[in-house]
Amino acid sequence: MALLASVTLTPRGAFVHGLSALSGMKLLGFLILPAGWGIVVTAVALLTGAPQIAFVLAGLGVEALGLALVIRAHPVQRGDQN
Amino acid sequence: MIVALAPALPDTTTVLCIFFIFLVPFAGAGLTLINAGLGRSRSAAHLMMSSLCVVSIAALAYFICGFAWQGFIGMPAHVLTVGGKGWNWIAAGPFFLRHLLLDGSPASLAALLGMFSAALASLIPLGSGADRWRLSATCASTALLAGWTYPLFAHWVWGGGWLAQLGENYGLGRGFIDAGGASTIQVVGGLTALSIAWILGPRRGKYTLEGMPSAIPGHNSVFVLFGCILALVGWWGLNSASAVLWNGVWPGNAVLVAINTTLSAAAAALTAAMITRTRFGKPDASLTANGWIGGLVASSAACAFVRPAAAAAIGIVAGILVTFSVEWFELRMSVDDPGGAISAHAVGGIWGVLSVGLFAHIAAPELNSAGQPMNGGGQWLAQLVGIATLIGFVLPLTYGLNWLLNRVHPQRVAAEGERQGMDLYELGAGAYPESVTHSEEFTQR
Repeated sequence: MALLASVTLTPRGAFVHGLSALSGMKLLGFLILPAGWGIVVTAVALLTGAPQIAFVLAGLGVEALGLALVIRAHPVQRGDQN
Repeated sequence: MIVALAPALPDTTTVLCIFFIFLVPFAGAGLTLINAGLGRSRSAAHLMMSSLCVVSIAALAYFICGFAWQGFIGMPAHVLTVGGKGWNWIAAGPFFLRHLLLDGSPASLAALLGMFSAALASLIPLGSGADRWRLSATCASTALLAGWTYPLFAHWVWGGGWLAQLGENYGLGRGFIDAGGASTIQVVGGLTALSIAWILGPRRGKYTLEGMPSAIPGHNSVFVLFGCILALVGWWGLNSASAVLWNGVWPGNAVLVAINTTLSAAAAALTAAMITRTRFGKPDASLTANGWIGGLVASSAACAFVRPAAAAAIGIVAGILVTFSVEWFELRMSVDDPGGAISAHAVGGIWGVLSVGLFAHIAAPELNSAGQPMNGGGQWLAQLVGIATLIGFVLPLTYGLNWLLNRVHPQRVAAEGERQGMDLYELGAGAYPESVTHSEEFTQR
């Protein structure tokens, strides 16, 4: 309830800014995901042996970062916000 | 690049393959019943109607352009050459199944199985969008999934695409392996389900003002549990047909495939039942059903390449993952997934793909076509590349397509439709006589 009140009392500009920040974070997350995939594919195409394994794992790590951003960008639902 | 056309199958294999493929719709019927049972009674007819429309749209979209882009080994394809190696990224067949002899040839069987598989993948998002996903938007989203997303990834795995050629080109085991569609059907469908759940948002009344989820129990456990049994029959056919057709497994090995599929589902369901019994005092029917489906999904990737004990182990892990994943999505991520589709299909499928690298015994050829030594131990790396492709490419693709669709044609029903129920609002008639409808569902939360 307190959180709802804080959202309601927040100046409109700040609230809109918060929403666009969330959208920006979502967009960034969805750009980082294919970037991680690109690292994986490039590692497969250009490297062999241990470096290949390391870069594939690094690419997966970048994807995990992107996924975390996308998850954080979808806010926790409180009440009927839809 | 044109690889050697797949040789014609012996008559017995062809007949068995057709029989296996004809079992696949049971999997769709099972998923439909599960989704309907886990949703509200006032949206049950809408969900069944949506399922029928989804299967229809998927079949048509796959017929028009899906198979042309998925293709089959030996059919024309677009290939990029990087460092002297071919990256086969999409088939280039004619639309409308033209020039394809529908006579029991491997390519024609692939088209038939692909049509059912596209329909199955398209049914999965209905579980996460239940009770609030408009029928027209469902149909449009299905056209995108069955006409583009599914065929593209299926080509990479089953149509001689670059993932399948990772072994041939880069010495990673035998390339990405998915015998029964854990990735191509289940994870692709599950990630689309996640995108739909994010885009639609939760059902009204699902979350309190404090952010805590309210329980909205499914309306018919009998549907859900009977759907599980139907799905098992469908999965026997799906895993067997796929293993024979895509991986060249001898049809007699369908016995091993069926045993592994059953054991994985059984182990996953019992694990889910035990976990919920331990945590909540009583076994939870819906989570046990989700565990069962998660076990079926996880069994798909490695069903033809593991011993039964390994299949049971894969099922146990799937049961644990699915049970906790359902809770994590609902509590931590505020994702309202009434059918548990994301956990059972996406999480279970990714685990299934990984399990190939961990448990499967696959003899990799010692030399590739260029006469270079193959890296037999790189199978797990090939599976990781496949998982990275699903999360890093398929998820943004399917989310982006559905986000664009949502901008053009809003996917969520109006608030009045949700309050009234999807049956009355969109179809004009309910699934049940008024006396059977759960009156408490109309209570304002």
